[in-house]
Amino acid sequence: MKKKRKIRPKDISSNQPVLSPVEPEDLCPLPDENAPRSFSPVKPEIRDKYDFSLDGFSALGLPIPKNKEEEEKIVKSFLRGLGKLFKKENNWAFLLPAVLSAEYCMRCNSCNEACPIYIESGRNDIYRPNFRPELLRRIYKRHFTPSGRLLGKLAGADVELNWRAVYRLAELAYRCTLCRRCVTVCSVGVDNALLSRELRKIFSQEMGISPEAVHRLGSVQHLKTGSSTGMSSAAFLNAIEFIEELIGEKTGRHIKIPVDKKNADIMLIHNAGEYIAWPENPAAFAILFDAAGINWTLSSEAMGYEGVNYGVWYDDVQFARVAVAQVRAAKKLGVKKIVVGECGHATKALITIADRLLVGDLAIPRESCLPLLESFVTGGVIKFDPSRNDFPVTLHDPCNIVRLMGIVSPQRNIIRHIVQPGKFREMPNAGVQNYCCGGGSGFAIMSSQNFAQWRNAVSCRMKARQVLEAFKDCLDPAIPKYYCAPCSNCKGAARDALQEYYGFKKKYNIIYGGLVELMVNAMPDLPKPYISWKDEF
Amino acid sequence: MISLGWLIAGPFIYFAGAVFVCITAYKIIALLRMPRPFRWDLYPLPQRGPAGSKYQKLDFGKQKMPFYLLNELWEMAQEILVIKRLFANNPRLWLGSYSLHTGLYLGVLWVILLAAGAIVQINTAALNSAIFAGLFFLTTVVGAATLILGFIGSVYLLLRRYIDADLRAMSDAVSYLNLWLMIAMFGSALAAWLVADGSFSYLRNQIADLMLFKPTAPSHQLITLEFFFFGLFLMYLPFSRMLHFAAKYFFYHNIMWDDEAMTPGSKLEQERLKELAYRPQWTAPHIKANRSWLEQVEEEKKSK
Repeated sequence: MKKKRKIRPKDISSNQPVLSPVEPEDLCPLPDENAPRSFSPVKPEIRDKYDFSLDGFSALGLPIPKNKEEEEKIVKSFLRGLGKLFKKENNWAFLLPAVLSAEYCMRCNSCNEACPIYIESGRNDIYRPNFRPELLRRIYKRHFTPSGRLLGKLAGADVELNWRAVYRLAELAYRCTLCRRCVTVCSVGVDNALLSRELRKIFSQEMGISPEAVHRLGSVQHLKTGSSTGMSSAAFLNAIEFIEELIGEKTGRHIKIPVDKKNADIMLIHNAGEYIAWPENPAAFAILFDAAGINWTLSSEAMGYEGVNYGVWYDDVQFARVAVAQVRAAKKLGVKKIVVGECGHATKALITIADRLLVGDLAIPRESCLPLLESFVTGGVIKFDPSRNDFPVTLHDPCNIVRLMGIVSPQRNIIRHIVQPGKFREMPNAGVQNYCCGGGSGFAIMSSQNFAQWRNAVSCRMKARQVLEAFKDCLDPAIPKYYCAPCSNCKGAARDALQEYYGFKKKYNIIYGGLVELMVNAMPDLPKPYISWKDEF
Repeated sequence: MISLGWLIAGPFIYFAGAVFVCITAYKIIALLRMPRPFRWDLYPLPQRGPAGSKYQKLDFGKQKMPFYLLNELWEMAQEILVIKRLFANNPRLWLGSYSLHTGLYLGVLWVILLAAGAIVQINTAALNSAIFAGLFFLTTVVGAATLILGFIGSVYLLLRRYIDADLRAMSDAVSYLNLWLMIAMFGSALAAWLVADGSFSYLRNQIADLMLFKPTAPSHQLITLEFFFFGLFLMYLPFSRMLHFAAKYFFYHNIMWDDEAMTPGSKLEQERLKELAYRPQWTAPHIKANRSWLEQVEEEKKSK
């Protein structure tokens, strides 16, 4: 492999067509990869129109400016946003961590080896977790501090700002999954992932730049129709009817799923993607809740049947709008608490982050589904027969639920009770040090331009490696294996990357699914297995 | 008599000390006055004991969660005293960092011991008692350790920054400046100790004079240089990223480990209501111009 030139932060504004291309041969090969897989080339007419100058990929589809005026407008707008970021009127919610992380990084690079994207890319310089925050720091210093203005590079302010630098920085903000693994290794506590999100906020809140799937087709659509999927209330009710039929087919049980039940103990809120892509997941919840005799309901109110909050990835205003609307839907039903289904970012957004937003009577209890599900197992409310799950199982720890909320043991306790002894195996780095699925911070739903290729090949690669390692003793496709991912986005990444890109189902008979499906599969009074290996996934 | 030595070991040191205290206090107060951020925790939280998180419990909001103070103190002690995370994740750099930080911690102790010795010197003639001899001996040992560890640590870190291509790529001019300044500070003090002041008695005399507000010019140019770089370091420190020794408290306690829930009627909620009334100046199309944060949310509700 030829030795590459080191890319330094100040190189961001260079005129190179592509600053640091991702070459297939640079990627860390998986144990089963014999030869690097090439990327599909971008059509020349697309390359001429949109910016691919960071690494040859585009998450944002940024149109190349046509003249000097447009170029200057991009730079000015970015600088305006950067200035606003450090004012409390604009950023009171994250001012303290943003200021601290911007000022106190010691440039020790300790965070580098914690980042799966940096490692799996073959240690591409621009993917260092501290690379993009360093750009923010140096640009801020140069344009907003006396020492930077007076001394320039002598004060560490050596980044020339041009439209290319701004565009590359925008793209670079979307080469981090915000998993925050890098923060866990920093002695000072600097949060470079937070600064990636702060950069995304400048682009979204000031410049109107954000991934289409996350903003226009995501949070905007969510607020307009009630769901990021575009699912209306009527469509949701249809989906519920379908799920009731599905339950009947799979279990022989006729369960009426409670919708809009007033004063229930629990309002369950799912990522609405489950209703469309994985209806067996909300169906499994309904089976378990019915068996446990829980007084629960779903909401058909717009915003009440959609748990996602894409704002948490890129925009504080959108985050606040969605969180408040979701809680209002629950208030309308008079439920005692909200329980969030198997969706990592939705759980963290509504339970933890929104905690400092929901004032007055909006502060109703909100919990993850995992401790409740654990109580079904440990309390003996539902009988489970672990021998029905007599196949190798490994567990993915969604960053938002595990590292960022500390929910580690309930899911493991459940698995101990529902999986045949000896069949469960942890993957390397399990628990709070686990690696992101590769689809975090919106990546799982972003596929514009050629971004999906990058996601599958680079950001999902570490998860593929972990899964292979977990099942290394039983890769024979004659043995069915279950990759349990209790998170919708993580399942989306598993579908697109592990199954389709890496071909794990075909090669090794590894399927993926949630935790509740595995629980229902272990219920001894069901006539047939809930997980049907041939049809699903 | 006014001389360069007197200016440096007298007025300059007073000024440097005042700058250090005032700017450090100003920066800490500014951090304290910042709005309480949204929750951005990182788990496990040491104060939540072996479980590490209240979210693992059903109905966690109804339960009084135990507070494991010793766990938190133990975690802090490991990070402060041995830089645990750096040791675990970047052992090569830790060698230099640990040496430098130990030098700095001992340096604080050394200054205290020098000051204590100076007070003794001012107030009593019985300098030959065993206790005072012990104090002076300890000062010498701690001082020597401070200078040796601090110097070795900062030289090691600087060399790594020059040698390691990855570190070099990410270093800015300030990264080098900070280390050069510390090398100058520890190096000049080391030279003064070795050449002119083996028992630090001259230094103690200088400090006694400073405490009596009757500063004198050092007897040796190396001691003058030592004062100069120490003063420079003191003045520069609060403006630099080296103030992380204070910022670290906020990183851990106000962000990563901040587990306080916002309850109705709480002080936190009152503050939040004030902040929700701010009018953000963001100009993207989806943000309503000249509306408060509260109105941004309400607007969306009305428009549905």
